[in-house]
Amino acid sequence: MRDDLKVGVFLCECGGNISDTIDLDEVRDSLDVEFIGQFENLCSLNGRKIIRDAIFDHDLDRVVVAACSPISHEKTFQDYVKPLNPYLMDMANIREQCSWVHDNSEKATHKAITLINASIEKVKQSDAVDPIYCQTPEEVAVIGGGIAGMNAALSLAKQGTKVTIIEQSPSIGGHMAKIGKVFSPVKIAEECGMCLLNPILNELVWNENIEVLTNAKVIEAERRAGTYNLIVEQSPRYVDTEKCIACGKCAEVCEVEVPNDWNDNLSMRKAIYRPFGQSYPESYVIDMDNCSKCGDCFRTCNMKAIKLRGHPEKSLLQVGSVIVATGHKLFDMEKRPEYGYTRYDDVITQSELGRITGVNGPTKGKLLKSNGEVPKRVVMIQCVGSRDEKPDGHKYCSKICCTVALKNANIIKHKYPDTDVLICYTDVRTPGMFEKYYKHTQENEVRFLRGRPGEVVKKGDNFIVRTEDTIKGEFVEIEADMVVLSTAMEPSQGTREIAEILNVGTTEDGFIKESHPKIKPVATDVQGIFVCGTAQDPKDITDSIMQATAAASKVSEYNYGGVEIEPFIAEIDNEKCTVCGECIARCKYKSMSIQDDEVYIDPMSCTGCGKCLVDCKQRAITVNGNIDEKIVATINGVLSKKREGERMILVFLDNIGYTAADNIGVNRLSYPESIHIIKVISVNRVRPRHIRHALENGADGIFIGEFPGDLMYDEVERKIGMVKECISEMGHNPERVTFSKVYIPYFTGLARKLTDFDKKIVELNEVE
Amino acid sequence: MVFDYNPRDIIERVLDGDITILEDENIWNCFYCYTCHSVCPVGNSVCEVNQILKQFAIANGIAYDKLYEYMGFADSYFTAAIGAIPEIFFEDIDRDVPGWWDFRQNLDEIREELELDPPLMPSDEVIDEVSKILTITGFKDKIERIRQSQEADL
Amino acid sequence: MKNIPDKDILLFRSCLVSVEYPGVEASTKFVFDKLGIDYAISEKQTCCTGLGHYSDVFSQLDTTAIGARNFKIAREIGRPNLVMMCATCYAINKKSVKLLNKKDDLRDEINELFEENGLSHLKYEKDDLKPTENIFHVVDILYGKKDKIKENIKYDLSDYTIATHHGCHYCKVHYEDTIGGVRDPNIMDEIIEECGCKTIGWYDHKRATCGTGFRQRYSNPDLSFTATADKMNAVADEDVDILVHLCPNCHIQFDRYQHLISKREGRNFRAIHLNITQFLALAMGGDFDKVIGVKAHTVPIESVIKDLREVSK
Repeated sequence: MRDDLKVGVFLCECGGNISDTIDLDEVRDSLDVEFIGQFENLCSLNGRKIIRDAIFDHDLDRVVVAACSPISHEKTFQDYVKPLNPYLMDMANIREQCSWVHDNSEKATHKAITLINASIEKVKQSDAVDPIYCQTPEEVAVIGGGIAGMNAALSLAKQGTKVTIIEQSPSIGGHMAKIGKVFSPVKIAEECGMCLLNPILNELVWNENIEVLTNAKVIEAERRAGTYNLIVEQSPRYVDTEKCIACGKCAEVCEVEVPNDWNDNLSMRKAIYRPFGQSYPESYVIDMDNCSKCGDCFRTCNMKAIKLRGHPEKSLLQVGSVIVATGHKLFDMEKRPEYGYTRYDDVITQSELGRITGVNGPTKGKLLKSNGEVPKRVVMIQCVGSRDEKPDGHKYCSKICCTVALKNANIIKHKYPDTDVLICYTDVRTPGMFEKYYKHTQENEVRFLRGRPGEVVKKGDNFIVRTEDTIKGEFVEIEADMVVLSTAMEPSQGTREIAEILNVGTTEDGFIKESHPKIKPVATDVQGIFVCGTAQDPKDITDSIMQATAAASKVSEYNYGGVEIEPFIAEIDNEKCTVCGECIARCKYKSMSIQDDEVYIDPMSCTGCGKCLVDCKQRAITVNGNIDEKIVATINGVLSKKREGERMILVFLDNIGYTAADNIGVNRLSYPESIHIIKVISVNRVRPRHIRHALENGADGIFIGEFPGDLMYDEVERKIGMVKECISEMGHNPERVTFSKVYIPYFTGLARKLTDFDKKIVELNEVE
Repeated sequence: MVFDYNPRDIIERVLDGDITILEDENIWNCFYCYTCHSVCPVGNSVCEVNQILKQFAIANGIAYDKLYEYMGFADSYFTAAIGAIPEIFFEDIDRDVPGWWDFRQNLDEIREELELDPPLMPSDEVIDEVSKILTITGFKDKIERIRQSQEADL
Repeated sequence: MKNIPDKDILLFRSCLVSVEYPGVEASTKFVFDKLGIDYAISEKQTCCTGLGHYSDVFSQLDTTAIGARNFKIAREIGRPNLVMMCATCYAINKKSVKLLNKKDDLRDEINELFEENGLSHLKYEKDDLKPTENIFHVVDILYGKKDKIKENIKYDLSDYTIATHHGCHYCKVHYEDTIGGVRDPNIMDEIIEECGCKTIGWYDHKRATCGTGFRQRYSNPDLSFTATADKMNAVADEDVDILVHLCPNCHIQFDRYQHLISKREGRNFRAIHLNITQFLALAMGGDFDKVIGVKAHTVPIESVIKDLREVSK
């Protein structure tokens, strides 16, 4: 009866992304369905019309959209098939998992036909079900208290949301607090950065909806029922922020002096210190690594605010969503030793120059060399570590360094008109209004030379900057007595760590990856986690603030709109249920509980893994959506297209593994055409009989991937071990089944594993 | 000799498809020091481009004169399986390096003192194999072509 | 960090070392023996094609085919780890291995030529050798045994002003595999430190070429010596006593031509030139004539090394 269903297939060209590799004419010829449509951009509104008209005109029962990944556009097409039930539509992923990973047009076309056929067979087994709507907790964690995190927190707090800022250092404020002057493209003038930051800081401090945790880090995270449980570790400050009045007497008596990191180590501070004048919390802090524990501060403090004992404390923070604003760090100059940064005091970074020219900096704003004299010629070197594909360099442009150099050059020219400033650049990148500032800088007699210097050497008292002037086409040696390096922006350590802890995807450069660079610029590939600021990529203060407020707005959307959940979860038949509690004990996700004498299943946390179903003696539990039948139909759909001599490997992945597999395509890596990925709601739903069925019907290999953070991981691993034994007894080679860890950020590893497994299958096929 | 080696110009002309680059003296001025190769931030390797250009030139019969001085190396490798500084340069070396000639005369003794055998004379078997390899790769013919063209000019 | 072998090593003979600085070979053996490294040489192995390759007489096909033969010899005697005394041998062999593994066309072409001409025993299968696991320079091996150096040191050379010149063909050709940096190469500085000595570290032109430039030295000496003079001046500015090398090409350029360039520049250059293994052999008590091979040097070693002071244990 299901075979009589009228299926319509819609092929998307994706503006050439698909049709340049896959021969869609051949695909059309090979399909035997009620209706086949094709369009250059199915996700457009015109595409919607094509799909809807065909459903009406041809009275379609089921729809297959062969286009991009369901991760990108499943929601779109579920909407486009209305009034058909959204779950009567299935997507065949012929972009991320076909045209973007395969070059060979003939093979890619055949694989596309196979994938579409699998979707056709699968969708025939689908029934109409309704999505479930859920509400998540409104509380939000903002990780990182720099300009981006502060703005995101403030925006949410003003909308009535409770926010906790988790900041690793002793004060919020981030890089912006150090910058000194900032530049605005409209005013063509440099303004006091702290004067702009301070009102935001004050507003944040006084907002009752915001709690600030400093010296704090997220060390663990898990998500349950739409709630993120974050374990936050807070290191002791050794000074009671409630009692401390920041009078500074403690620092006066402290005898330990260490380099002041807030001043880029250009000045000294005490072991008990306040990071900077406007730091918050408005309190001193003890740097215990350097403290001699003499007790002088303790004896001096009239407020009795100092406690020399303390231990890191862990606490649980429960929130509905997380904004990652963990920022950047600057390129390590030891990686480019030819510029002499570690050898010479007067070779400095733009960040250090910012401190030196800042009135609250080590020289109170005077531009001085290490010998106390004003430099006669400052040479700035751009693109240090940026736009450099050699080891340790970054291929990307750090985006802000041109404007930063212009700003600092103007500040120097303004105060020291006799000091010559020369900027050695690769390209000056000052788009939009910034170009006017570039012109203004030229008028200020700052000079420019196009060429990336090769090295800085010391000759006598001065430096020689060796470079090619690429406009004149000649080699020059520029004498200078101060050299300033415009260092690349890279993801901070905190950014790298939080990506691992939250299991959010990163770019090849280690920045947090947004779920779509154009249309979803602040969401990540994990629901409920958003990103803003330089944790996402290099950007300036303006862009950081814009992205921060956008992230706040997306959190609000999420808080108000709730979350739509796929309905493929467990359901209890209360007629049969004896409330024995067996399922509650077995559920790894703790989704089940007893409420009002009945077993209640929390739809947010139930993954539809089916564990409870197997253990229920009363057979009172079902999982919606014909999952088993759909898996069998998909397997058959793939294998029925197997050609003579073709190798077919079935790969079962859940949402996490599938996202990692999509990332392989997004990054244009490749794996063999034999790989056919089948998305399942939970890897646990792949039953031994599915594997056996596949092997007996032509599959050459079975690859099952699971994220180790998934609560069912151990269970699935054990089960696959058993399956191997079992199929071995039945005369199949157990080597044809493999189980592997998958991680979203580690898509390169998945590509390699798929390729290696294919190689192994080739070897097995040769031997057997 | 005017030294105006400019890697940018070489790459530009390659991209332009300017075939005259094969006849340009400058491609022969590369030191093969690989500095460009190791630091170029956009991944150019001018030295390896130069190497390919020179092989193109040779394949097209251009610049045989550049190789002629090095025939001594080719000969000793082909006939004796030994890599050696061509004897044609010995006079210059002897002029520029005090004591070098005497040292070379006493090499066997010095090696003996170091408990090293005299510089190895490869066996006939090794020589056979090496000259066979260099015949089938086209090396032998190339060397003959170079020699003929240069010696015909004389 | 790559895995540096200390056994199954074929010490790859260098034609320049053999006839110009045989003391480098003797010193390498002396130091390897002290450090307990298992190596052998092979009479069947032939020159990497060095000067022939970089004077463009040998095409990449010629050189790689010769390489394939040498690689087969190494594998046949159960010594798949090729260790080179010369930076150019290192660069050329590593490139050949990379090409043979990666360029299927080239490998097939060479194997077919071997097959058709009765040389099928020389055929190279993909990944017979791995560029990062089997191809090394002597300095890599010394670096791998760094911790064993100190206990073998007999003489204290710390009073001398020491600088290093890292050959371009070690550092720059396969820059991703270079230990101790490319932009400020330091592998030899680190090894020398294990002898209880401190080098001057960075100096102007530290990473620049010696100026050999292969054909440049013979066919274009003016150009060649101009580059060398830059470097010699920088070394003299630092008043260096010993310049330590890792490549016989650079060694020749500095030692043989120091006299000539002194005249050219009107400045008395006085540094002596030792290979890193000669430096270690000297510090470990190797005899001037029987190990270091000082007679092969043009700038007399004795002009700087006058008397040796034993280290206080």
